[in-house]
Amino acid sequence: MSTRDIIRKYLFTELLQGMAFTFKNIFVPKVTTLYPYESVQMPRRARGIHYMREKEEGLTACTACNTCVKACPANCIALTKTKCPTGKGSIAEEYTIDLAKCIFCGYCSDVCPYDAIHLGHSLHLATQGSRESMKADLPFLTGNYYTYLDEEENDAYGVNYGLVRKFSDKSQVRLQED
Amino acid sequence: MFLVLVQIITMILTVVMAVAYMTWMERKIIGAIQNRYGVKHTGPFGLLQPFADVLKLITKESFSPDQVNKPLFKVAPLIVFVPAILSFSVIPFSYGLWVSDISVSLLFVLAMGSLGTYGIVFAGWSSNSKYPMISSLRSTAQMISYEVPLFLSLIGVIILTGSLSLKEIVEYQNEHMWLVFPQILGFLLFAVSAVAETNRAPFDLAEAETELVGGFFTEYPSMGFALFFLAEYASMFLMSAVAVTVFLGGWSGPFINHFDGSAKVVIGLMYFVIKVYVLMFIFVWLRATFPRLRYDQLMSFAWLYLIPLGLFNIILTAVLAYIF
Repeated sequence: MSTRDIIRKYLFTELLQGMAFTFKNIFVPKVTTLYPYESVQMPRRARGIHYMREKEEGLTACTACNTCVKACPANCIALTKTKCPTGKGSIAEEYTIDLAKCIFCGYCSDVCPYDAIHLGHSLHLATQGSRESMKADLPFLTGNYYTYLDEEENDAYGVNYGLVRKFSDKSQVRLQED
Repeated sequence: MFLVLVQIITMILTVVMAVAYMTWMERKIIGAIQNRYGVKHTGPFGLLQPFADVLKLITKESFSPDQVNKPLFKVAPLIVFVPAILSFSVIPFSYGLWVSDISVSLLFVLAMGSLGTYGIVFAGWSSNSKYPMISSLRSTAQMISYEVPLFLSLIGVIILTGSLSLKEIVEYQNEHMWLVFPQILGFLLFAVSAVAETNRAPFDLAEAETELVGGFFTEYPSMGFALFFLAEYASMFLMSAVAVTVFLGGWSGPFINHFDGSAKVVIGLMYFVIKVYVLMFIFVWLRATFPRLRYDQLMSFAWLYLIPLGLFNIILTAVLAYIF
């Protein structure tokens, strides 16, 4: 047994090492987010309340193809179709997601062929109203889109969603980690 | 008579307030060590949290479960709490500042410390429930084992100072030197045994939250629980105060002898409080660092290492004191 081992065994230097480590940690910055006072920055892949992309002002990208309704495992999307006022095809007249039923699986966003419905980051679902007030209708969803547009400009999560949408094949989108 | 009453009430209030703020301090320090904030919401820096806790505890119903032995169940928290508070009466807080000075105050402190064990035994037995039972058995064995090295570590001090009075021990240190230097082994033994004696981590087997759901006070509601809690922190304060008084020079410190009268009292008190809080910080620091020992490790550590070392320390001190 070397001298070093003897010192280790009988003077309990490992205990002192441990205590030095914890003492150093007192001066490390705190990792707590003071949640109700500070907003939480969610991980950029976090799935929260949805938003609906608009092709142009007042015209949603949704063509009311019903794919998302079929894909939805929680059966929370209600959708009615109408003719497109400006051209060919059709758009959604009503598009309501019942957030009380939604499980935020993201299938609707995955299957959407027109890249219309997306999941945002907001997790603030609590409400004082009735069950009805948890239904996200079309104006709400498109309104959410514009808040996320701002976010894209500010690049809050390090990803430019607009660019990702423009240049990538949707089935192969992989948000690069940093 | 009236003056004594004022002294007693002042001391009890001081101890209780110190204990209340110790819980705050502990939560803050452990929070900081774990990179958290600790209590924050109640008042500035969470300073009102102790009051909120106490208010919550005293407004709870004092309920006792059906299976308990009522008289013992009710009296057990008091048996733990009263000796813990009582021992403070002989601690010399500063130059000429104590509640009572008896000639065997060191012995008195140790005796009161041993009495607290009975409260824990009663609490565990009278709860008539398995976790408190196991906890009180563990606690009894632990406290009896660790009292031996605790006493042995103090005998060296008694040999050097030739006195059992805490006041005289401090005066000896003020004249000569702090006893931690000639008695470094004794001090380390005392420190380890004191942590075990107060049931603190890493020797907190008696109240292991993860295994025993709080241990001997599992069944206690409201003030019963609060009294156990107070007693635990009060005995931490007591052990720190005894360690400071016996080994770290009590109220003595640099330049203390240049002062006279009330200035000496105030500065002495300041030194004393600073030293006590440094030791209290170490208590919390240990809790934040080390995991709990296994039960057989705990017992073999006391009987195989601490007690032989304590006996060795006594013999060494006696021989050296005889030679010089």
